[in-house]
Amino acid sequence: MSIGSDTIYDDTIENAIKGIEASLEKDYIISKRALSLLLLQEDEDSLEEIKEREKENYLKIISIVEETKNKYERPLTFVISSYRQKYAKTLTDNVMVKTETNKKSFSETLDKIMLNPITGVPIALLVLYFGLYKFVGQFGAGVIVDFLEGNIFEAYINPWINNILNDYVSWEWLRTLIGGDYGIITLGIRYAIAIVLPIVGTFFFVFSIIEDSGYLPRLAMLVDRLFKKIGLNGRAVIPMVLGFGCDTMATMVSRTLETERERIISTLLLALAIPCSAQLGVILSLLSGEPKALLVWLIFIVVVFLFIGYLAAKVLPGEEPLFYMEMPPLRLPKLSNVLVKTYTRMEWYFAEVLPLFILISVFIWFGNIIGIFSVLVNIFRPFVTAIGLPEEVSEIFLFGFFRRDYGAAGLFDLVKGGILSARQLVVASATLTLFVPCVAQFVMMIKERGLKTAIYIAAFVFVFSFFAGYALNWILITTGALV
Amino acid sequence: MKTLANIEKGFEGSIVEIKTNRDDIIRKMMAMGVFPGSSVKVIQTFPSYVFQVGYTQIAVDKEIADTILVK
Amino acid sequence: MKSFNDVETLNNNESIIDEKVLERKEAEKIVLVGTPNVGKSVLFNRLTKSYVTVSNYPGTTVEVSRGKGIIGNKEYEIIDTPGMYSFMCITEEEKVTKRLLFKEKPDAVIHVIDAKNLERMLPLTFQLIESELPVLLVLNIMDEARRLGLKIDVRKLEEKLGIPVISTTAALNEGIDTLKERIDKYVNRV
Repeated sequence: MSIGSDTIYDDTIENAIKGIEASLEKDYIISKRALSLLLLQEDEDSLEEIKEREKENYLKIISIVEETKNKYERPLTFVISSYRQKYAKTLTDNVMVKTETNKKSFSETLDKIMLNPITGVPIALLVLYFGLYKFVGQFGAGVIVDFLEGNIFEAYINPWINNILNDYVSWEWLRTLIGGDYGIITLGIRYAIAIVLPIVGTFFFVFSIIEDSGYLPRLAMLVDRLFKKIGLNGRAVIPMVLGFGCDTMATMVSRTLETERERIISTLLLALAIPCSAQLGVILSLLSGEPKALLVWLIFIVVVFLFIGYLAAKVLPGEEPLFYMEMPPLRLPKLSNVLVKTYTRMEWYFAEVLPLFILISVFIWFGNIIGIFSVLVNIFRPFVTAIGLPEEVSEIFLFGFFRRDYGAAGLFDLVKGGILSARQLVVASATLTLFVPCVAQFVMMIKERGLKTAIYIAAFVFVFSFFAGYALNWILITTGALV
Repeated sequence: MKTLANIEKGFEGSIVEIKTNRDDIIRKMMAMGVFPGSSVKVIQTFPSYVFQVGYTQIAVDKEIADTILVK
Repeated sequence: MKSFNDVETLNNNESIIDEKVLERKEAEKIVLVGTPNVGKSVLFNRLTKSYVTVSNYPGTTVEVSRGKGIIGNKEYEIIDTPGMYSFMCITEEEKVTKRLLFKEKPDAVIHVIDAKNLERMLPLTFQLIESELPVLLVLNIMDEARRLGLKIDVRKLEEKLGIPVISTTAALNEGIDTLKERIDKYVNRV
């Protein structure tokens, strides 16, 4: 069969197709003509398939392919695609006319500005600043979280649950499992609804706008050269930007990268150097009182990101990734589409993450009962003091594993209490940013990269974050940059 | 012969060949509709190469740009 | 590829009658295919009412989205696939799509393209036709093509390709009703 009444390919290929078709004895879901064309182009899956099923004719088919191949200078996949393209052109010329020359539109001008690194980089920073910092960090993680946490959960739901438990449940273990400090409802569900939902919701909203506008491919193009140095390519900008929203989700999305090497590097960098929105919100507001401290933290994280990425690219074997990307025209996002996207993503996220939070609160409840936390805090203590921080910070590090922002929020109290100096604050924030991903992210790492890789990455992050914190502390003391 | 990697921004011409032994590059370019004979317009050369074929803009790295011969 | 095998097991192990009963029980399926950035997801949203699973990510649809939608007076399962350029797969996503196309035995395959890029996207249409899949071609994002001054003779293209061709602007809800009518007619043809 050919398309309509026209034939696309030349006689040599048509004859080869006929030869192969005749040799295919079994039934296939795909038409024999299409399968023959795939075989001529040496499609791996199809070759494997017929090798298994056409035992007797396999060699005959291979010889037809080889024979045909020898008749052309270029690979058959190139020849066949060229014929298709040529026919597509003929058809298009036949049915499509261009009536007027287009005037330069506003979106084209905007496009030029975004593509040029001199104007494009500041635009990227502005998008990050307003989209992530202002909207997600301050509005989502600040205003909405405060309202849901303080005015809804702490004012109504938690006391209500605890009262019911106190009145009707006589078992202490069940009371602490559901309510109290670490209960399924008072910690797990509260955390999911009051903290994660607004942050992730606002983030998805911004991200859907950025995505629908066609900005992401432009950002990918801008960073490609830099990302090549750390073993990634421009495409990895998508999981990295997502990481600023939620590292757990970003770790999952890193599966869209083409090679396992890129997936491992991006999983590592997400676990180490990309703070999620929850953490970012708290740390930024913590450090914003001290612009110098904020700057030190920022430089430190960027340096670690690039340095570790560079090392990982050197250490991990594998081919350098190629970068190619289609750049769709800039489009004005439609609110209804953005809302539908945001909603469906939140729905999916919730289904995926809520069980994890419940599991985590059960785990904390259990750990509390058997007293494992005080043991772990004791293990952390020498590391924490070694990087020049007061003992009290140990507990914060432990909780950082369960809730990234909870750890950072704990710093708040210490700062208010006047325990930390500016230098200690920076060291603590920086180390905490690097330190172990949250539990949910760790579980996702196991799911996506396998247990072994996940443990290696977590172990590395653990050791490196303290080492880097130590180095930072030392640098700050020696140079006297911060006291 | 010039390639996309060593040509100035604003260049308009046509693609002569995709010169490489790497099957993955050939496949990728064909999938994007980049063929010998296609007319091409160079939009940008730094930090990555952006060119237009038909109504499609495509961004590629230096490695791929090096393989696309134009005139 | 696994999917090719499935046909044999079906043919060998089950009688024809069983297979027919099996087919009747399942909802009829419509699969959307196309490259990234052609408005496939928007079209999917226009055709479906309720979501079963959705998780699409920038540029590529990581996982396959399935939803239910009513066209004519029948309910269909509508499947949105990861972006695909060609049957000669480069990425995992393309492999997923190719597998799905053959495994799900769709009652209609809707190839969604960006109208202004007709020339570049037709080769996949050819491959779908060559595979003898029940394909309809949708020229989406017509508004952009119009803005560029492009006019497409849809009837002539239909004639040349021998398959239904429909022009739409899914983002503006243009042409969706016509598309539904054509799908209904196409699936229920004798």
